[in-house]
Amino acid sequence: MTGTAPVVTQNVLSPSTVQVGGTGTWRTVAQDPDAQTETIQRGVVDSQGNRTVFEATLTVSDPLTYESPTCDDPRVQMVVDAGDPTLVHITIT
Amino acid sequence: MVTLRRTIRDSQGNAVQATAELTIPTPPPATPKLGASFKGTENLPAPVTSLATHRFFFQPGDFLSSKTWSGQPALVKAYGQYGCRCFSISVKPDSGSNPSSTLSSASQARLAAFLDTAPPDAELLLTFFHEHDGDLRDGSLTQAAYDIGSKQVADIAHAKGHKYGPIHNGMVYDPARTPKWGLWPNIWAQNEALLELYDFWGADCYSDGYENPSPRMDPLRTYADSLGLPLLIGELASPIDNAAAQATWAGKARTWALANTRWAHWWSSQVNATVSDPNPTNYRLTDASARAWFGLP
Repeated sequence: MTGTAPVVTQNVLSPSTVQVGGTGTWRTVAQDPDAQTETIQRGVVDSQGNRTVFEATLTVSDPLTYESPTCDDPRVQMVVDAGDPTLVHITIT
Repeated sequence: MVTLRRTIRDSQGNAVQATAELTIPTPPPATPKLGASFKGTENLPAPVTSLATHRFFFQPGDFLSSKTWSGQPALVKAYGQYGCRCFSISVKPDSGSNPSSTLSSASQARLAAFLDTAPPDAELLLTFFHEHDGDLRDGSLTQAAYDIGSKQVADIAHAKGHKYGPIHNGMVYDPARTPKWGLWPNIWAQNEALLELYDFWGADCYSDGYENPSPRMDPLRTYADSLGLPLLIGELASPIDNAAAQATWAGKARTWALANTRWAHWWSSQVNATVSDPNPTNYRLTDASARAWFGLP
């Protein structure tokens, strides 16, 4: 294993109190601290020899895997959003 | 409160775990029991003909001698005259003046024998040393004695098939706060006995200024929810000084109690006058406040 662990940058449970039968959401976002920012350049030269350099910034990061959420209380049902792995839908049964 | 957990990994296997604390309030029962305390020598106001729950307490040293159900006029009247079948009963130690006092083995046996004299269809909610927070604060009770006494009474209650829980002072003192007096969960928490003994969590809470029960009393429900226990109000009341205000408050207290408690008792009594308090507050229900509290026409 190399590098350092991801860092949680957003952790919001809304609302923090849910009645039985109610619903809520839990969003957890993490970032890879090993990510590096690279600058890429490309020059463009016209027929008179004038040269312009274009730059862009590229972030090289590990892909992060969000595992399934867990809770010991069987009343708490959690489903990860189909289009957003950082978002969990909570239902209290 | 329950904990949600989620692990996030990178491609090298490095992981971080995110957690969040979720509160799931304990839903109140569909029909909470609202009741009252009263002296055995008195009756409740005439509009009250039945009682769902009754609050009764023994004094320090009461179990130095044998006690029977039939020897307690208030219990007999609540059961027989008002048809009550649920009773919140608290017990004090052998000596209220000794900070380390609990119940002797003989007193424990007499308490168990007293419970055997209760009607078989009576639901009993037992408590050791109600409103103990003030006694812990002034040193007239030690935490060690409270822990021991709580286990003594809880074990007897459970052995007899009854429930056990504490009844705190609702209003407690926290020197670190401003104001220092209030409904402070951190003080209740530091004054708990072993939580595993509890089947309910209780407190007494008065409103001498006719303050709206919500939000004032809401911390009681929130704290009981945090323990996963149903809420019992051992005593609540507002004074008779302003009869109209008392009746209005009683209606609000009923609404709050129905939404937040499983058992709640109006303290329908006047404290006995003392040298230091020659004009004690009178919390007796009137016909109007009794109708409001019990939801009677």
